[in-house]
Amino acid sequence: MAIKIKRKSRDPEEIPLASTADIAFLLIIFFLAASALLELKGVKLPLPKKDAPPMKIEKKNLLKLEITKEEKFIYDNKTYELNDILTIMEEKFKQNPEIVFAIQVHPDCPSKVVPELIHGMKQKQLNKFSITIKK
Amino acid sequence: MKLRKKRKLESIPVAAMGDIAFLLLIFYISTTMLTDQKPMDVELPEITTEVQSSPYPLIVYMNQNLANQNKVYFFNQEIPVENLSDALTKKIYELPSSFRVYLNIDQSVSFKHMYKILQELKEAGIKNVIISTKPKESL
Repeated sequence: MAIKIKRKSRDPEEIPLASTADIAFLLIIFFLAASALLELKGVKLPLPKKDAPPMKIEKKNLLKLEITKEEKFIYDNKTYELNDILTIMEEKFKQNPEIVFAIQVHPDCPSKVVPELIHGMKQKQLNKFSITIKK
Repeated sequence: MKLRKKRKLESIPVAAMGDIAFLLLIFYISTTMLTDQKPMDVELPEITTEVQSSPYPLIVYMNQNLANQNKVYFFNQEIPVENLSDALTKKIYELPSSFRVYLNIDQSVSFKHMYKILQELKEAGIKNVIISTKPKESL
């Protein structure tokens, strides 16, 4: 005669999950600390279209200025510093809001002058300009 | 006789904390932008400008040494400036999302080199470029 042995009822086994929150938070802290925060700062320069024809601007609406290799600004045969030329440009813009600034840069002028000038112009709301190299 | 009620000890339920933590973790992992561009040390012009948020930055580097060789550093490679337009066009096709081009050029590099890069960017059909700067150090 077979005897049926009743197994003792056992509690279902459980995986201890109490520490998952700690592990997850540790992982979050790791990701936050390890991810390099890329903070990019700069001056925005719009570029002309690839095959755009040259713009035709009336002479009265054009103000030509040059940047020398010594980082000086030449306008009307006079030499200026950055802040002075920006003041002149602002005045000219107030007199004629249609004015476009044609800036010719000396090939050997340090490139830092360009973002400095653009930044100064943007602060004074002078947005119509062209930058080219002096030939 | 005063009967004292037995009160259960109050506790903050923390059972859902694990779920919240994992949700946060998934959020951080999915939003972290992975880039395979190794940066290059460049002496940027010191101008205090605003942060330009970018979906995906494509950074073109040039220092004095590279300028002397007429080369730029783009996506972990030194390439001739003349090839930048092609390299950019190729990269743009591979990108999953929108992008923005940054020019990290050493402040002492002459404008003729910057101009060549700008011409190449124009050739690649780039509409805007950010000339990278660093904030002025206060004395």
